[in-house]
Amino acid sequence: MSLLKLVHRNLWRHPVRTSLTFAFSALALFLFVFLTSVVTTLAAATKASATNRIAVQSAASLYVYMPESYRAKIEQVPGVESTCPWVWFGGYYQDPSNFFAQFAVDLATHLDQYPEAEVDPAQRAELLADRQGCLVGDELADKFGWKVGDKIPILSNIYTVEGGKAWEFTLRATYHSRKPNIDNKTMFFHWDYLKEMRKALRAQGFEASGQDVGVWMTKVKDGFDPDAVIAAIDALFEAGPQRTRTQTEAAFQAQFASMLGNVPTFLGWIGGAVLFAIFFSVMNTAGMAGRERSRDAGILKALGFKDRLAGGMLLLESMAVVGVGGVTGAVSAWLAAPAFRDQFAQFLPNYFVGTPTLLLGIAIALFIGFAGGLYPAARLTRLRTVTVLRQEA
Amino acid sequence: MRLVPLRYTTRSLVVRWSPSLFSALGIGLTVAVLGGVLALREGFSALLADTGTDDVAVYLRPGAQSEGESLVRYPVDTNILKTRPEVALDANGTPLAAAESYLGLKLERTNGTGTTIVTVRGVEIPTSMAIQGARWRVVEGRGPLPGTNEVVVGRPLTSRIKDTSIGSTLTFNVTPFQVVGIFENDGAYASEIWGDVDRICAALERPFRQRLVAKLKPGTDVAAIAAELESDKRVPVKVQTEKAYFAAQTTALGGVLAFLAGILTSLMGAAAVLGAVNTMLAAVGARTREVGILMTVGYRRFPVFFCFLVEAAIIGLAGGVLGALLVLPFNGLQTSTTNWNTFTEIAFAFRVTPKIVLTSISVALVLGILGGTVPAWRASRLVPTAALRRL
Repeated sequence: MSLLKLVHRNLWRHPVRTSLTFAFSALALFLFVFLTSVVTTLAAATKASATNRIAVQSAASLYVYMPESYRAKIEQVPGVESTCPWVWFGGYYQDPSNFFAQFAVDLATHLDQYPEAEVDPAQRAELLADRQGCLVGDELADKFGWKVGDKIPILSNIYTVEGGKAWEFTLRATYHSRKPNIDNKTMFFHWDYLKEMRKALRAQGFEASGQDVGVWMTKVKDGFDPDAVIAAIDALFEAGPQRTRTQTEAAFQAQFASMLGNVPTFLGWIGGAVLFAIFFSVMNTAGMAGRERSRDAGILKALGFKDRLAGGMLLLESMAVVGVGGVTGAVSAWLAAPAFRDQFAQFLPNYFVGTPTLLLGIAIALFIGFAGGLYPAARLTRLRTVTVLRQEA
Repeated sequence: MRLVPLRYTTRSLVVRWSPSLFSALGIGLTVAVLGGVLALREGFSALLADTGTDDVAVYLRPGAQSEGESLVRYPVDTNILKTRPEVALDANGTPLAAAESYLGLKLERTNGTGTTIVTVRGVEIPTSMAIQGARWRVVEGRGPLPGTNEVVVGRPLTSRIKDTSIGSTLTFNVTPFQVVGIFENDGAYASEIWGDVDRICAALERPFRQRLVAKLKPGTDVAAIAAELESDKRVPVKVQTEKAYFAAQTTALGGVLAFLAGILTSLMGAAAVLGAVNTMLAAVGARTREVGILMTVGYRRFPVFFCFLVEAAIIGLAGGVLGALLVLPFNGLQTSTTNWNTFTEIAFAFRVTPKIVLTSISVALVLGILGGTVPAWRASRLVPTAALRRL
């Protein structure tokens, strides 16, 4: 009988215990991978940001907008290739709980600036030709079952129409982003259409003139230093009317992640506590198995096998159960990612489980199986054959 | 029917101290996580939900979820709203109603980690303060004078935000404002900066207001007014009591915390039950002969079952106490997060209330008992002769 077969037999000596340890490890690793993914998702948008895009915002507030006249001024700054207005629309589809982001942008410039968001060329042409056309992420279209050509009514809390009517958009194109700096759950529409909506609102005294654009997303020409362009833009508006604060796309994304405050730190602590809990439990289980295995170990030694064999087999057993459990848990977390992404729509529309996180989870499971089994295995190795065989007989 | 003496159980726990301790630790860590998440949620809801009163009303633009996206025209709409019949009057017959501006401004943190978003509220002096009454008070320096570029700063901000001590200057866009005092508020206004509404709106070029806030006459039916004003032809507005407004704000973060707390505790709880079952099963397995002896000396099935269940319950209880001890140091720990409705930073503290401690310990006890039931039942089903014969 090969030794591996003995390990296998030993594993199923207590089927209930082995199954429980397996389930326990799976749960713990599921949690660990989930928590780690929340934290990495937060950082991912920042990491994936392009180095040649910079964002111009009001220095005072996210809610203070800049005049439209800034566009021509920004475009004259040396090193600026193009600049695109972004305005937050703050709307929803049918019910306020159906949250997703909508932005009014200059679509032609926007699509040029974001090559990572792929759009079918024929759809792109139709989108640009239709004033009320809109572009939505493929995941968003799937979620609500929208097809190209559908009319989409959106209600806005900011741009309210008299009588509470919805703004109507026509879905002309969908995009799929390959990078996490743009999620696939956002809607973009024509900035010209928004300007038309605003005319009526401004006539009624809602909205001030000159409060036009929230962010100028600006592309820097190849060969120019983004930091120099940033400094030049901010210097241009130092005296007002609205002072600006320009940041790289990465810093711009990071300011939203930093709004979660200490939450990522707490998640880290919880993840750590989970790992500690599973470590104790594995050590406990391996310890119990080790105590029961004392006589077996004695017999193996008496038969002439090396001292280390029994301990080694115990270690292998522990690693196998925790490892298989861990892989199951980690992979389940990976499979459950799309479901979580829906739960987190407002906070982490990008939630994903990355391969490094998955591998880390598996490695940690194997390590815990190893570390937890180490002490019981060492005890088994140190046992004196004669003493053990004499016991309990 | 005689029960197995409790001393047997306690001594057995002491003799097998290492598996007992590890099981207790596993359960303890689980309830510590539960307690921690609950304390976080408690602190957050205490900040907003318990604040605001029913005798103050908040008027926002219809559809607005928060002040951040609300807009009330000034002075057209605000003047009409101030003369509403439900608004209480002061001793001189002036309405106790104020049109306020609200803006999240980017200000520098003191610890050098960049900017954060702080609420700057433009208020009518002294009406806004009169509406808040004793809940809002200047504790250092003095209040801002009307018509000046003076501001007062909420106490929690002074340690976190640069240039917020008395005598320093804060610049809003391009206009400097002087800090002349520090205030305290028992509720949601604690982490704000207050100044004259006209001066602040001029500095930020905002010709409108975000809300009208008014003291209500006693016995006002807010629901009836809300229904009436929702469809008002001249000034359609959304009216809520201040309390209802803040309660609605908690759902923004409360939802995510509730979801996190739910999944964390159910998964960790399940894991802890598995761990406890495992330990207790092994404990029974290792003591098969002991059980045989217990039965041979005359103990019935139920006392044996009960004895092992008590053992599991004690482990659970010990874990609960351990978990509670782990969570207690977090009480009062300050943290901050963002109100996702307004994108402003709010500071709050973990609150480990007696209720949370009790919940943690009870959950631990339940986890222990759940984990002990199957093994205890298994022990009670053993056949004495077979048990004695086994190793």
